[in-house]
Amino acid sequence: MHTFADPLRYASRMAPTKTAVIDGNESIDFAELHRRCRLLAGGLLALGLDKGDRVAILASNGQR
Amino acid sequence: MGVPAAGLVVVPLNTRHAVTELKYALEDSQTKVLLIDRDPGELADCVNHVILIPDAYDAMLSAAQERELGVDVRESDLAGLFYTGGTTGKSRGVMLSHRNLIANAFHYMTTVPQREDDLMLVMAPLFHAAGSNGVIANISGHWEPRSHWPRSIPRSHSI
Repeated sequence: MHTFADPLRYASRMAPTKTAVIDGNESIDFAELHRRCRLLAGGLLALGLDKGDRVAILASNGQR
Repeated sequence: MGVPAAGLVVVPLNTRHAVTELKYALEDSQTKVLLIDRDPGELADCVNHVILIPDAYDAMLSAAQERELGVDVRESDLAGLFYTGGTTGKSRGVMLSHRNLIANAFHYMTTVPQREDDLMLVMAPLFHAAGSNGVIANISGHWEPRSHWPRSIPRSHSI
């Protein structure tokens, strides 16, 4: 079993305060990256999405 | 990474595609939610929810409750639909599973030398596999237990 949840979880456990992403003046560590992904999951699933539903992204590169 | 980790399917759209191509991708994929950093225009009619980046996106995260990732998600599940450039006809949504994308990242890790203190400047667009794969590899890279590395991928090779 190996999904995208795993690297996010490992990284936040093994190096929580290490920088994961730098976007302009903002710097996010691995614990925060994992937290934001969990919040994104919560926010999207609260819209009533079910497993396998599609979420599109149209955006320039950035931490979000 | 958060979208597939939540068991959903991410559809990264090409910021250089025309509205016709974008509408086709949204309708073909039956996308429900569009995260977008510009005026959605008529794309809004193709989906159930439009979330504008950054304001509405940040507000959604602020109001959200954290959800555990990877619940009931299997590595063979679809993780992303990547619409091709469409050079030989209509753009096609390439179906890639968690296993496909993570295998790609492993391959990147074995062929692009990296150290823990390296910084990777992301020049390629993240909607493209070339951009997203490097980022996935760098985020996954050093923290994956080596026992998870596929044995079939050589650590180095030469021709």
